[in-house]
Amino acid sequence: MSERHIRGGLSKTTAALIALPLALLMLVAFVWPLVGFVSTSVLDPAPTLAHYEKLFTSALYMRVLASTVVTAFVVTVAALVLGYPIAILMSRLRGPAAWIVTTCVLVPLWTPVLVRTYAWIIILQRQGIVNDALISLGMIGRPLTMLYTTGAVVVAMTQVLMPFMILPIQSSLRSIPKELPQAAHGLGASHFRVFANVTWPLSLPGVMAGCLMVFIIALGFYITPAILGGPRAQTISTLISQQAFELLNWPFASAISVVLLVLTLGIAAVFRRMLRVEGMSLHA
Amino acid sequence: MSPSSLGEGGSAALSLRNLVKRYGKVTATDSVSLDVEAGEFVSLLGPSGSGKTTLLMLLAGFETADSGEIRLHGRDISRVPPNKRDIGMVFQRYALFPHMTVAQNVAFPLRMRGVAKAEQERRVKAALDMVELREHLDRVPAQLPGGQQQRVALARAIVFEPGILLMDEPLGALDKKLRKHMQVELTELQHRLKATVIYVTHDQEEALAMSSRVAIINEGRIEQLSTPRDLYDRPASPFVGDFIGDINLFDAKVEEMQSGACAVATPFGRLLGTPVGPAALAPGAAVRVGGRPERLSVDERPTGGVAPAHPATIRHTIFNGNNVAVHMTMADGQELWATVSPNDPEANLPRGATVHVSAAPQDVFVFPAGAA
Repeated sequence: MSERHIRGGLSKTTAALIALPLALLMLVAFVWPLVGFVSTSVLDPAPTLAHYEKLFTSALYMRVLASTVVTAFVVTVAALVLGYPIAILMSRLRGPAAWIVTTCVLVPLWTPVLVRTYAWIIILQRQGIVNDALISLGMIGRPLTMLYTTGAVVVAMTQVLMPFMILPIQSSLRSIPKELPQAAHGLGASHFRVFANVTWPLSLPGVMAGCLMVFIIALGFYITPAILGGPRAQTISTLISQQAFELLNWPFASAISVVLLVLTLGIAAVFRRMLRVEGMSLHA
Repeated sequence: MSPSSLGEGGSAALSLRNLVKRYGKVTATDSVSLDVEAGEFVSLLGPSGSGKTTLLMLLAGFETADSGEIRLHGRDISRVPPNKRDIGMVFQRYALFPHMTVAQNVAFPLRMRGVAKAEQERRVKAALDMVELREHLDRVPAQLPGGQQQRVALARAIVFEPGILLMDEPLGALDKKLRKHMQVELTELQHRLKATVIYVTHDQEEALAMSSRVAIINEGRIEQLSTPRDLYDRPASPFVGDFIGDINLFDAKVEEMQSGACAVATPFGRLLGTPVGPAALAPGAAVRVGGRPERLSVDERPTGGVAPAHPATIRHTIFNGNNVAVHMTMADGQELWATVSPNDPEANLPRGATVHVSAAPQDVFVFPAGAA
């Protein structure tokens, strides 16, 4: 197959022309601000690393950084544990049932994050659904404080980010030829061992992709922690916002942003390597 | 016909009794009964959608029969899950595990059965020796050419010494030359192992070349079960005649019954043929008549033999190398095909020439009408 064929019959010049508007937009809306805040973080007011020093030597800021990573990790694991069975269901269903489940997974994705986050307030508040239910069942005497805790942030973020976990896993499960689990079963593997030895390892590329996406989005997630997290449940992104818009400390906000960016790129690189190793054994 | 083991289910390696499988209103397997002796190579041959794959899925246990019984070496496995059936299966597209090496693939059934590591290694080597694959054991399947992947799949299916081997068009993905080669190897391997094999294919040449017996599947039923030779020489129905090899088929009426033969009236004249099947044919009954192209005699002048000869006009001839196909039209417009040797004078007759067609009574099949 010729290169021309692969690229959909477009010449290189045509392809470049078509890509030009997007490239320009990225330049203006992404690269320029990026250069801006990286330089602000080391050049304001004079060339200095003081803002980074402040960040890395403050126990408070380091705790926020650590708790953000931990929260993102917990959200990723929760989304994987809850999402994997749904992905399996989606990959096996056919017809209307498949359509219904897919819609249930996708509709939240099309609903604004803000709306979904406010929905969680209704569920978790003192006179919310959960507290009312627990009290009427007699399991608790007084309403629990669930809102404005790290727990609330984790639960809501898991729900918000779940589709990003389910969809890649589902697609990688679908790409497993159905004879493979069948062959394993016929060769003597129980249903559990078919899953452990064939289905799970072959779905790993999807699992990796889902985890990477959820983890990275969770690291920089702003709306949900800002609304559902209390002052004690601060994350990197709420910290950046606070520094930039409340304390107007732009150089320090920039420094934190750079750290978040480097952290994200680093994790993406690690995942990429793991994906490549997995991908090799699958499609080499 | 081979000796039937009806009623003595213990002797057959595999025995199916009245197996039925329906999908909604479609009956995919329609009361199939079949006995396979140990060491036999039996092909399930049929067009796509005939139900041969459903039958295989029922045997492997990936589908459960609505009724009927499957016995493997006397043990009823109709309700046994696939992993407990002791059946080795080779899939159409090999179904090798892409994330395991060749050695790990072959060891898989042993690992699932809790065989000790050292014993696993020994048996994996023996199985791979069997299929003549001695290198690349640490490669993943995608790094091997198709023919070698096929060997790995085969080794994986025989390594745990299953009671029976099922093969679902295992050579379908190979190119023609390699397929011929693998056919020979497969049959030799089957003889060495004395394995009992059920082989699903839609390729009649393959089935005839490899099998001790062939079951012709049509519309969920076994239309005929016999040796390749017998299927060709004595097809039980027009469908089998048409499916195995080439055949001329046309409608006729019984004129008169003689001992062992019958005379039929066709629009182009009278023919002598052999009735097929146990049903007695009465004069006047509608029948289908069939004859193999290479069994028809084509002569420039009537030979004056016992068999009635009928005039025909040559439409065209096709040179096939080892034979020449002659396309003719009878007096009433019925078209017939015959094949003659390239050395025959008739092979070189021009378009429009008149010839005389005849066939020996034993080569004219008279099928009762109503048969498919």
